[in-house]
Amino acid sequence: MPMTDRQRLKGNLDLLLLCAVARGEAHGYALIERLRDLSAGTFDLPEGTVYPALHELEADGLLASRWTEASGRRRKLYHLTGKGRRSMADERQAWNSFAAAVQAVAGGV
Amino acid sequence: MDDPIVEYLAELRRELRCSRRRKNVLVAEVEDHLRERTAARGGGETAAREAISTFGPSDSLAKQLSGSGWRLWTAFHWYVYATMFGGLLLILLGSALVLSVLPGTPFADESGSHALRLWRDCTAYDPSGECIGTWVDRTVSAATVAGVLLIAAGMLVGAGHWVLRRALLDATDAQAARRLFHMGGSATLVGLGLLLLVSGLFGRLASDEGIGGHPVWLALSSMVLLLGGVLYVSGRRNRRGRA
Repeated sequence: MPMTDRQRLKGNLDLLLLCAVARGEAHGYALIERLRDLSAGTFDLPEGTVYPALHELEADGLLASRWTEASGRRRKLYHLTGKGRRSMADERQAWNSFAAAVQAVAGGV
Repeated sequence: MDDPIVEYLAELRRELRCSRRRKNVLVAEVEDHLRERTAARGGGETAAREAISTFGPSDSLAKQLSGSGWRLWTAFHWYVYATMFGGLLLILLGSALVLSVLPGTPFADESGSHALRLWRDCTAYDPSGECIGTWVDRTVSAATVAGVLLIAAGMLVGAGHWVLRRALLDATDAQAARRLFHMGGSATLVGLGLLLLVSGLFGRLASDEGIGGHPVWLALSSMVLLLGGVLYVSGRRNRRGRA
């Protein structure tokens, strides 16, 4: 991913992860795959970025997790909390306003 | 070690700076990811190495995964050593003082030490409760009191150290700040409340007035203790709500 895309992504990573988790409870690997599939390969996020961000969201109470057993291994599944759902709605609103403003300026040129 | 994933996870475990419990959780999560990705790409060593490369070097991953509370905790390492040493010293000093007044031990000081009056008791009372006998002082050696207080202080310092370690070790910056506020505030209020309570109690006993009635110090110390308790409980609920 080019550096400019990475910088753009940095400010929106929380929103992307919250939206990915909102589509259904999933573990880290599945969330990364889900983001890649939904963005048609644009968001091919490095694992070293995603996991700390997931833990931060969990620490802030936006995500919660539970452990389960899969293929003889322990698996951590993330799901959205009520606070996370509210935060996602707020962030999405802010993103839509921002994107509309950028489009209004850049789209008319 | 043939399995590159096992090797990588062992390195990650060594590099992680957090509690053992959190290390187990983080390593289990990374392992699940690596095994699944490896299997999805056909398995084998090449697929495993490719999966590992997506996480990057173990030391930089460990740095990203380790809680910032650990950095805060280790930043105070001199305080950590000082509290551990201080607590131990207080316990040793207290134990020595208690031993020095125990009769029959090699440390016993038979020459006698200052005695503190804990209570006064009357040998006989009339039906109305007035003392008609003689007052007898119930005393305890000052060294015993000092020893017990020092042991309690040492244990308190040790407990504070343990509680602080638990609260900070795996915390993020925001969590650490919140926890320090709740713990510091409640500890200060409870300490102040206990001080008021003990000093009031001793003051009343020393003045032979008893502790009856509704003394101001009792209401004040109860209020301060209650505030400390409320702050502590709100901190606990806050933590549990986020867990």
